[in-house]
Amino acid sequence: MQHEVYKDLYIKEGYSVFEFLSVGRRGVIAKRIIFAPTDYPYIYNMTFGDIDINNEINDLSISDNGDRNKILATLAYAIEEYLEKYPDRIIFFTGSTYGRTRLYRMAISINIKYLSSKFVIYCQTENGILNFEENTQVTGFLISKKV
Amino acid sequence: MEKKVIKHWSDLFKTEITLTIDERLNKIDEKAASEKKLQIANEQLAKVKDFLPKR
Repeated sequence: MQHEVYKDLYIKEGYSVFEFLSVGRRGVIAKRIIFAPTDYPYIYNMTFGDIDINNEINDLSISDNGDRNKILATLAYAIEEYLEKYPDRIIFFTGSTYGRTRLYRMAISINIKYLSSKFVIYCQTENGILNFEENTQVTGFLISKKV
Repeated sequence: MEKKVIKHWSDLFKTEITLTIDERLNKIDEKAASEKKLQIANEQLAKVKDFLPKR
């Protein structure tokens, strides 16, 4: 993909936590990604957001740092890396708001050609789980490594 | 303390990424640190449990 990506990431051993620094017009903002097991076998939830003063993830903050595409690309990279490490797992994620879920859908749609070369992408809808389709109203996403 | 650094080539972005294992992050319990979001995920997944992809 042609997008810039943050190239220096800090991780927990086992790859369940990633951190990186967003650098932009509002300064340097620490970001964290967490992959945690759900109640369903093989399915791991991805949580993403700014790190707040209590060292916790704030997934509702609006950092407006001017690097949205680079951050989305870094999220895609973290998913790539995690599924390289754990090819049998499936990642589930959703935006913290309707707007962010829509943003994720748009970002996937724009890059579907590249993403689908590496991943199988499903969307969660009111009607269940479907293969990813553009312009479908979704409530979440499931991503697995293409084998 | 010596830090473990992993250089990884991303097929997706055609670039090298540096991953540094951080002792500070090793202390994070990922389930506790994402508890609320995990609860939401489990509720959402429960609605589609019969349709979830199989491995």
